[in-house]
This record gives sequence, C-alpha cells and structure tokens, in this order.
Amino acid sequence: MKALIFICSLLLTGSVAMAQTKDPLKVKGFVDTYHAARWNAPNDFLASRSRFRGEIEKISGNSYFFISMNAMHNRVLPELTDITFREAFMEFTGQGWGFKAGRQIIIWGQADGMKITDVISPMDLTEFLAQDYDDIRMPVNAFTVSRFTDYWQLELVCVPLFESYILPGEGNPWALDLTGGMENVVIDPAVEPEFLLKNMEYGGKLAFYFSGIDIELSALHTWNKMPVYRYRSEGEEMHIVPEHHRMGFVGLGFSKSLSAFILRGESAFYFGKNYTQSAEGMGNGLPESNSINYLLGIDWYPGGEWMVSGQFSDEWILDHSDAILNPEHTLISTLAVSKKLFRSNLKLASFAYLELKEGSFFSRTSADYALSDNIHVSTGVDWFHGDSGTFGHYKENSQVWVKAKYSF
Amino acid sequence: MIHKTNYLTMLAAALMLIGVGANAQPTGRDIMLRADERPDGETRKSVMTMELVNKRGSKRVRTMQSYSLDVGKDTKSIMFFQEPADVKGTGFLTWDYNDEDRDDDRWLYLPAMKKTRRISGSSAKKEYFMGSDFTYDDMGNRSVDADDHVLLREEILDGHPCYVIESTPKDEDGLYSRTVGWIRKDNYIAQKVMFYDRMGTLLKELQVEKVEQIDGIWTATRVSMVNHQRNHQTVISIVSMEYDTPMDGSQFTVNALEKGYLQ
Repeated sequence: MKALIFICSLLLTGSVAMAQTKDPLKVKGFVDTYHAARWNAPNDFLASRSRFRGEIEKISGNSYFFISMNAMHNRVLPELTDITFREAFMEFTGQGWGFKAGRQIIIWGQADGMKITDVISPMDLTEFLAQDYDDIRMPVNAFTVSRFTDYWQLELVCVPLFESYILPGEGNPWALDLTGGMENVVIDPAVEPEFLLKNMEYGGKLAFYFSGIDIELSALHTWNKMPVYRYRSEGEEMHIVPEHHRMGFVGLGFSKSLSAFILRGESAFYFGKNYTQSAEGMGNGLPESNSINYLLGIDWYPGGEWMVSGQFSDEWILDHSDAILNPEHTLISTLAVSKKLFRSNLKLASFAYLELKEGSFFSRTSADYALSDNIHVSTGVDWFHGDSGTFGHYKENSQVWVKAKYSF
Repeated sequence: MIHKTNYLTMLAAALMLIGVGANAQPTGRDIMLRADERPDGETRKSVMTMELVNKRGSKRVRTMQSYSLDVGKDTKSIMFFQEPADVKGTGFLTWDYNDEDRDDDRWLYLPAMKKTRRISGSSAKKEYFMGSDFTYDDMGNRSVDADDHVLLREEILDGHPCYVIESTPKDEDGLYSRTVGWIRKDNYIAQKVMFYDRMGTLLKELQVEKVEQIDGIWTATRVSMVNHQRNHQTVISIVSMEYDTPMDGSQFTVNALEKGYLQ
C-alpha cells in the first residue's frame, strides 16, 4: 500500500509537471537492479536488490526545492526492503548569498573516496565500499548559509542532531565479527550523544577559486561518526562498547591545474580525537590524541578520454601510545584509471584502495555500456586481497556483479 | 594583441560591418580577425540540442542550456545538461582566457557524486565533447594566432561569395594538421570547414545548414559536423538564443554550477 501511494504520488506529480507551463515541477530518477555473487565457493549472493529512485524539484525564481525517495526491494537483506526519504531540502539564493535547509548531502574537500575533511555526511557501509560511492553517502538534516562572489564562497553549516555511520549488522555478509570468535563477549548498544542543543555539529568552509588554483579552508566541531570501541569486563563477560565522542578539526585543501595534470591536496589537524583501545589500554578510558590527516593526489588527463589518478594519504596520530589500537601512521593509497570508448558509450574504470603497511587492497573494476540514452548496463569485479588490514578482512567477499539502470 | 575565434561561435554570431577595403586584398589573418570580432552580444543564453547519428542511422540526443558572458577579451560560460536523463544536471563552468599562454579554468559538476572537481583546462580541448564529433576546442574559443592563416582563393559556395582560408595550427600536438574554411563575405560566418587529421587525410566536415538573425545578430541555428573516417555525424540545433540579457560575473560561480541553474 505504501509503495502504491509512493508510485501514484510520483505519477501524479509528473502529470502536474506536464500540465504546468511556468516553473513546472520536474520529475526524474531511475530504476536500477544490482546483483553480486561471491566468486569463491559457495558462490552465494552477497547482494540482490532492485530500486526505484524518484526525484522531484522545482525552481521558482530565487527559491528551489528538491526531494528524492528510494523504494527498494532487497532479497539478501530483506530488512532493507522499504520506502525511504533520501533528500528533502529547500534552497534560497539571493544576491551573493543563500541558504539551504533540510535533509541534504554535504561534501567537502578535494579527496576522492577518502575522508579527510569530508566528514559531515556519514557513510552507509551496509555493503562496505562494494557499491557506488554515491550510494555510500548519507544525507543529514542540516542548515547551511552561504555567501559567495566570483572568487570565493563561505559556507556555514549546522547539523542539529547526530547521525552515525550505518554498519553492517548481524546476518549481513559484510558484518565484521568484533568478538573474534570468543565466547562471553557481548557487544553493547552504541553510546551516542543525546539530542541536545549543545551536541549539535557546526562549522564552516571558505573556498577560493582563483585562476589555476582552488584553495579551501575549513573548521568543524563534530563527532566521530564511525564508532570507536571501549572494552570493559563484567563478571565473566567481556563487553565491547561502541562510542561516539566529540572532536574537531581545522583543514586546508587545494586543487592546482598544471597543464594536463591536476594536483590536489587536503589536510586536517584533528583535536581530541578518540581511538579504539588496544589490549594494553583495557581497563582505562578511551585513548585520546590529536592527529594530522593529509592527502596528496594527482589527476592526469592524457587525452583520448583517459583519466589516471593517484592519491596518498596518512593519518598520523600524534603522541601515539600502546593504548591505541590504530598504528601511529595509517597509510592508504588509491589508484584510479578510466577510459571511454565508442563515443563515450563504453566506460572502463578501476578504482583501488591500497593499505600500504598491511599489503592489502580492494579494487572495483567495471565496464559500463550505454545501451541507449536511458539504459546503462554494467558489470564488474570487486577484489579484496590481503591477510590483514581492513581489506584483508574481506578477502572472502571478492565478488562479481551485474547492474542495469534506467534513468528518466 | 591576441585574438580568438572558434568554429561554433563563428557560426553562432554575426557580422560587424567593418568594411573590407574594396581594393585592398585582405590576408587570411585579417579575415579570421574580422570573423572573430563579429558582434555576438556581451552575453548569450541558449538552449541547444546535439543529435548524434551513427552509421546505422540510430540517434542519440543531448540537450544543453548554456550561458556565457564576455569579460573584456575573456569569456565566462556555464553549461547544464538537460538530456539525456543519465547526465541531467551535469554542468561545466569555464573561464576561458584570451591569453593563449594561460590555461583555461574548468570545473565539472557531477550530480550523482554531488561534487565539483577542477579538471584540466588544456588537455580537455582535444577531447570530443560528450561523444559528439565536436571537440571542446571546436566548441570553445581558439586564438586566431594559434594558427597560421593563408587566403587560398575566393569562390562561391551555396550561392554565397566566400573567402577560402587554410589554417595551420602552430601546435604540432593538435588533432588537426590543417583546416580549410569557407568564410562568407557578407557576414563572415564560416559556411563550411574541412578538418584534416595529422596524416593530412580529411577527418571532418562542418556545414552551416541554417542562418537566422536573432536580436539583430546573425546566428547559425543549425550546424552539422560529419566525421568521414568514422561515418558518424553530429547536428547542433539552436532551440532558443537570447543576446545581451543581463548577467554579471558573480553568476558564473561554482555555487551556480552546483545548484544547476543561473539566477
């Protein structure tokens, strides 16, 4: 019934859009279907879902609104079969200023697929990183006010209520076993900030767009949206407590054009960031430290519709101690290559993350063909490799997948 | 002083009545400068369709809304894709500099990623635009002095007296070894341009199929580009064009690119 109302309302909206002549409502969206199977035995399906995305927007002079909704059927994770709002916001643009209010995706920074300062919109890791990156980003309820000219743009952001990452739950093939297979280990409910005014997230970004170079300054008073874990014993049980705590950063980024290359950089100094306890730290409070996150990247546009890109990043924990589970330096590189063929109708692409110290990696390689102006069909391989590190944990989840998408 | 021209705006603009001396024979460069300096308004707002036709006759259509503003000798432009559905909302912001030694600034906004990224201003020029037979350079500004121009002859084409100009790029890494253009004497619109590849073989042929006066400015409203080597064709049709509508530089921003519309 809910689905019927959803479809009818969109169809009705479409009819209204056609009937109006001035400032019509615009309806767009897509239908897609995605299926992925483990390439090793038992070759079980790790994902099987179909989705309808409806988007409605309207511009009336200086004012604009946008709504997007998902109606999804998920066979592997039936609890995700649902109709949900994705984004719903309004926007006003005046002479050199504007505001945006509602559920929206906020993206900061110069990095691709890495989060240095881009931490406002949390991530949906239901299928870890083995899905399109735009599906991984989550919208948040936020207010943004901006002031802009030709050459700079100031954006002030306020997110009143905390939202954490979505992590794969029990029964999900992407869930990690935090208990390490041990008995008498209990995962406690996450400790999240209360919905109080004092717990809101706020900050700002000042971006300059000069000839040949973009520069971005940012600051944010935020929370660690990916939980860190504290261990406590209670009788014979070991409890693992996911916790979210305050932290803040100041950031600096740039993007510089050099002929066929674009150099990118992004860095952030994090204040008072909490980390997961190591075995040595058990029994004490969560370790806290300052850290420097930085990333350098280069994009190369050699022509012929090739694009090659590489990034190197480091999370450097200052005053590192044995009580912190994370290493002093977490080094990750990414490599991306893409090539378009047959008049841009076929796109071959590969994006790989490499954990340099652990020697593990994850690559998503795909071929996408535009069968028509509306329909794309694609197939690909997600390859996890390594014996340790984040990607090594998923080495049994390497998969092949197919996808079809109709856009309207 | 460096001047600019381009094949598309050459077609989409009009003649400034700078009289060519009746007795003096202009040089190839003189003619290209006059074509470049035709009035095309201080601002331009247009909707155009781009029809891609392959050798089997099947068609794909792209529709774009674009705005551009002259800032001295430089040009700021912003383009939003309206069709096809899978690229709807994709936008390009370009600050096109007249100085040929200075790379253009270009930003691309991808709505699915909700992200703007700076892209190379130099290498993109040689790329084909969205699978069409036009390169970015064909569609954007090109310095007159980026090529050497020679007046080959004068002849009548499609009933129009024309100058026939051979242009040889100074950049040896370019896509073309030379182009030959038929520039109409009455309005300095290029009626036809032949593009030769680096081997000297005919690669593409541009033909103006329809010219109209809009707001008093001669405008090519239908242009075809045939790729003879790939047996593929692209037809650009101007659906609407407005000149000199009020715009200012503060509208050509990354902020506007991300919103998907110009206030």
